[in-house]
Amino acid sequence: MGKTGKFDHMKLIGQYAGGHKKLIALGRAIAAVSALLVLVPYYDLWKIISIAVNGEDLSGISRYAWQAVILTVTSLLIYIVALLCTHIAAFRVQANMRSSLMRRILTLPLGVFDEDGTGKIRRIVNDSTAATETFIAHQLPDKTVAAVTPIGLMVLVFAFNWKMGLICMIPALIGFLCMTSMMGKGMQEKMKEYQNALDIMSSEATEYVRGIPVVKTFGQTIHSFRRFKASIDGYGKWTTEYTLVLRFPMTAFMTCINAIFAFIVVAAFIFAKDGVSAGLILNVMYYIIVTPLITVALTKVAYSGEAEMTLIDALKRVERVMELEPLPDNGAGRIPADHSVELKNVTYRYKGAARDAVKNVSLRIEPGEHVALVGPSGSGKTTLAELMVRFFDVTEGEILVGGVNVKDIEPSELMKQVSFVFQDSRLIKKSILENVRMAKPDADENEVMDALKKAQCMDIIEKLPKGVHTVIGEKGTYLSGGEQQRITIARAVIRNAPILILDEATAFADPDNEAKVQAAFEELAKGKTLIMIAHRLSTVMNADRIFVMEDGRCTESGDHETLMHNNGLYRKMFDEYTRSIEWKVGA
Amino acid sequence: MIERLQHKYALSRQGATDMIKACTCVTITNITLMMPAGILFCLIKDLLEGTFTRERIPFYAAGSVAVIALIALTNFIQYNATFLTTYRESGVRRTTLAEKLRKLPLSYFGKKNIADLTTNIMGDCAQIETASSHWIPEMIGAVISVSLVGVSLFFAFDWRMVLASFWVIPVAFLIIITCAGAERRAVRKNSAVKLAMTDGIQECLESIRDLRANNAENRYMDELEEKIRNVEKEALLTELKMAVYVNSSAIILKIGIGTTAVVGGALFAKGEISILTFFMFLMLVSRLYDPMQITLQNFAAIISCGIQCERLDEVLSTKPQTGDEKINNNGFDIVFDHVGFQYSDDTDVLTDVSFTAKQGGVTALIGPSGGGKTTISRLAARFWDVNSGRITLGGVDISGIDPETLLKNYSIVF
Ligand SMILES: Nc1ncnc2c1ncn2[C@@H]1O[C@H](COP(=O)(O)OP(=O)(O)OP(=O)(O)O)[C@@H](O)[C@H]1O
Ligand SMILES: Nc1ncnc2c1ncn2[C@@H]1O[C@H](COP(=O)(O)OP(=O)(O)OP(=O)(O)O)[C@@H](O)[C@H]1O
Ligand SMILES: [Mg+2]
Ligand SMILES: [Mg+2]
Repeated sequence: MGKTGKFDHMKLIGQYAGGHKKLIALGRAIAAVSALLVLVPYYDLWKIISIAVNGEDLSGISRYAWQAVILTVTSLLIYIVALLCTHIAAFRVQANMRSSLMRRILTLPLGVFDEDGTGKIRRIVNDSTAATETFIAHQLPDKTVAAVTPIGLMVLVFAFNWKMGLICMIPALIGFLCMTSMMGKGMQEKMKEYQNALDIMSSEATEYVRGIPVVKTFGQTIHSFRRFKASIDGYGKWTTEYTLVLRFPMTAFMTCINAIFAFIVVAAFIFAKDGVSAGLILNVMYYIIVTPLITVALTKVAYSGEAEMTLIDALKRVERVMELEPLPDNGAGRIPADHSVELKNVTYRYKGAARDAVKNVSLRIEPGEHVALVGPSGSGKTTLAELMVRFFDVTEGEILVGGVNVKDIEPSELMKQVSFVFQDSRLIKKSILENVRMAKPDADENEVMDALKKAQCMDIIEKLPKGVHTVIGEKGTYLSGGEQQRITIARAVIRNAPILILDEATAFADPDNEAKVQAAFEELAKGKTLIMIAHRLSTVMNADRIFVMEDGRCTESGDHETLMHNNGLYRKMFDEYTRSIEWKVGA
Repeated sequence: MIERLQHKYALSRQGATDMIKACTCVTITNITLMMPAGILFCLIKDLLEGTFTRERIPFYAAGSVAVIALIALTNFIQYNATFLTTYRESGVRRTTLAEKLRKLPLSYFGKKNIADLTTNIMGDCAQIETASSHWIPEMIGAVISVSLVGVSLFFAFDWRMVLASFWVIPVAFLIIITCAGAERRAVRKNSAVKLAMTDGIQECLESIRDLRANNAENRYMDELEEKIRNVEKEALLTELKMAVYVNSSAIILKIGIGTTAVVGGALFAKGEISILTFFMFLMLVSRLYDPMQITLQNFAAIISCGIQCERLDEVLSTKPQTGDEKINNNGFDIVFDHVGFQYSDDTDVLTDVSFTAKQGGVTALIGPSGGGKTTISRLAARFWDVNSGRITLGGVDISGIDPETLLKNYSIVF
C-alpha cells in the first residue's frame, strides 16, 4: 500500500469503522436531505415578498413565515441527526484504531521504537487517531452539503430564472477551483513537513518533561530546554511557511464566495434591457435572499482540504506502525523438554547500531544450574538475557530453551518457563497487591502476602497507609529504588517459574537487606535454573559457574576458584571489588 | 484590559496586543462583508423606483469593484492578523511554559504525572492557540459588527423591525451562557476520561517489558481497551450535550425569520413601512443568522477552552524555586540543622535531623532501604525544600540560593 497508486483513505476508514461504516453513509445521506430541505423555506420567503410586491392577501404572510421557521428548524434537526451518525462512526473509528495500534505494539519485538521514544508512539496512538475525527464527523457530511446545495439550487433555479441562476453560480465555481488548487501535491508535502515538525515537538516535549526530574539533578536543564526550544522554533517555522503558502489562495477563495452580489447586479442589468417587470424584481429579490446559502455551504468546506490532508497524514502514520513486523510466530507450538538454556553462536546487533552488542556467544546452562553473568557495564549482559526470553530475535545463531529453539515456542509458553527480574523494573499505577498479582492473576491475597514476605517486602507494606492496597503513584506514594525492586522480586516469587533470570537484582538494596534478599533468592532458586547478572561480585561467588562478558563476547567461564586462577578479567574485577569494599568500610 | 487578557489566556504582552488587533481586523472585515447588502439594497431600490437605467452602470461598476477589492484586502489583513501572529504567540507560550517547568521544584513532578504535564504543553497550547487566534476574535468581531449594524438600523429604519429581527441574537447568547456551567462540567469529565486513557497508553508503552515478562499483556490490554471505549462513550456524550446547547440557541435564531416576516407583514399591511424596508430586513435575516450560528458555536468552544486555560494558569502560577544567583559561602561544610521533611502531607520521612558534613571529609549515610539516605542527599542539593529546620552550605542557608547556582557546587552519583 502507499507505493502503488493513490492512498485510499476512505477504504481505510471503512476498515476501522467496521459495522459503523454504514452509519457514515447514512449520515451523509441525511445531511443531503437536510441540505435540500433548508432550500424550501426560501420559497416561502419568496412567496412573502411576492405577496408584498403584488399586493395580494397580506394575511398569507404569517402562514408562510411560520412555515419557513418550521422547515428551517426541521432541517437543522435533521442535520443534527446526520452529525450524530457521523460522530458515532468517527469515535468508533478512533477507538478501533487505538486498540488495534496498542494490540499490535504489544506483539512487536522490544526496542523497535526505543529510538523513536515513547512520546512519538503515544502521539500516534492518541493524537493521530484523534485527528481523524474532524474529517469523518464534520467534513464528510459538510462536503455532501456543499455538493448538494448547488444542485438543489439549480433545481430551484429552473423554477425561477435559470439564466440568472447560472450567472450566480460563476463565483462559486471559481471559488471551488481556488480550493482545489490549495490541495496540490506541493501542499501535501508542506502538510507532511508541518506534521513532522509537530511530531518532533511533541516527542521533545515528552522527553523534556520526563527528563526534568533527572536532568535537574545535574543542573543541566538549560541544555534539554534548548533542544525543546529548537523543536518549538522548528514547528513555528513550518506553520508560518504553511500559512504563508495558503495566504493568497485563501484570500481569493473568501473573496470569490463573497462576490456573488456583483454577479446579481450584472445579471439584473442584462435582464433589465428588456424592461423592468415585477417578475424580474421578484427574481432578483429571490436570488439576493437565496445566494448567501452558497457562501455558507462553501465556507464550511473551506478548510476541508486541510482536514483531508491531516486525515491522510494521520492514517499514514498509523499504518506505518501497523506495518511493523511483529515477532514471527511459526506456529510450531513446541514445549521445552527441560529447564536448560543453550546458546549457539549467538550474535545480536541493535537496529541501527554500529557494532554487535553480543558477538558469537555459545554456552549451555544445565537444568538446575546456578550461573552468573558478570562483566563491565555495556558488555552485553542484559542483551544476552533478553535474547533468552526472545524479547527480540537473534541476528545470527540460535537459542534453545529446554532443547527447543525459542522461535518454535509460543511466547506465552516461553514466559511460563522464565521469570525475569529487570535492572529497572517498573510498577504500574495500581495497588501493590495488583502489582504482584500481575504475575499470577488467580493468586489470592494470602498467596501475595506470602510472596511479599519471601521477597522481604514486609517493612514496605507496614509503613504504607493502606498496606498492600496502597496505590503506587497516587497522591505522591512513592517507593525508593530498592523498595520497587523488592516488589518486583515478589512477582518472580509468586510466578515460581523454573528458570529465573535476575538482572542486578541486588544493585539497589542496602547491605542489611542484601543478605536477606540474597537468602530469599537462594530459597526461591532451589531446584531451579538461575541466571544472575550482578556487579557485586560477592553475590556471585557461590554460583556453579560464572560467565565473564567482555565487549559482547564471553571470554571466560568457570567457577570462582578457576577464574581466580586464570588471572584474567574476572580476577582483575574481583580485586578491584575487594578494594572498594575496604574503602567503604574504612570510610 | 491587556493585563486581564494576558492572565486569562496565558498570553504574552505582545500576544494580548495581537489579540486586540485581530478582533479589530475581524470587526472591520465583517463590516466590509455587509457592504454587498448595501449595494443590493440600492439595486432593489432602483428597480422598484424605476430608476434602474444605463446611467447607473458606472455607480454599480465602481461600487462593486470597490467592495470586492475591500473584501479581498480586509480578508487578507485578517488572515495575517489571525494566523501568522498566533503561531508566533504559541511559540512564546510554549517556551514560557517550558522555562517555568524547569524552575519548578521537583516535588511538583511527583504530584503531577507526566501525561498531565505533556498534555499541558501540547494539547492545551494548541486549544488556546485556536481560541485566541480564531474563536475569540471572530466572536468579538461578530458581536461588535452586528451591534453596530443593529444600532445604525435602529436610527435609519423602523425600530420595530430592528427589534423583530435582532431580538433572537442576545437570547441565543443567553442560552449558551446559561448552559456554560453544564458545558464546563461535561468537558471536565471528558478530559478526565481522556487523561486516564493517555496515562494508560503511556504506562503500557513504558511497561511492555514487564508486561511481557509476566504474560500480562492481554490482561493489561483488556483494561486499556475499557479506557479506550470509555473515551469513545464520553466523547459522544459530551458532543451530544454540546449539540443540545448550541443547537437550542440556533433554533432560537431561526425563529427570528418568522418574527421578522410576521412583524414586517403586519407593518407593511398598515402601510407603516415600505416594501423596500420589508425586503431589506428579510435580506438581513437571510445573511445574518448563519454567520451568527457559527459565532454561537465559537462562543461555546471558548467556554470549554476555559478549562484548558485554568490548567495552564495553574502551572504558570505555581511558585518556582528561586534565590540569589551568587553565593557568599564560607567553605563547603554542609550542615543539617534540626531538619524535618515530608514528601507528601502525611508521613514524616526525616524528623529533626542534625549533622555536619565537613569539607574535605567523607560523610557516609548508612541505614535500611527507605530510611531516607537518598532523601538527605536530595535535600542537600535543594531538589526539595525542607519543611522545618534549615540546611546551610558554608554558613549560607541554601533555601536562599538559586538551585542551578547551588548545583554547580555539587556533583552527584546515584
Ligand atoms: N535498545 C538499544 N539500542 C541500541 N543499543 C543498545 C540498546 N540497548 C543496549 N545497547 C547497547 O548494547 C550494548 C550492550 O548493552 P547491555 O545493556 O546489554 O549491557 P550490560 O552489560 O547489561 O550493561 P550494564 O552492566 O550497564 O547493565 C551497549 O553498548 C549498549 O549501548
Ligand atoms: N519522590 C518521593 N515522593 C514521595 N515519597 C518518597 C519519594 N522519594 C522517597 N520517598 C519515601 O521516602 C522514604 C525515604 O526514601 P529514600 O529514597 O530517601 O530512602 P533510601 O534510604 O535512599 O533508600 P534506598 O536504600 O532503598 O535507596 C521512603 O519511604 C520513600 O517511600
Ligand atoms: Mg544491564
Ligand atoms: Mg536510596
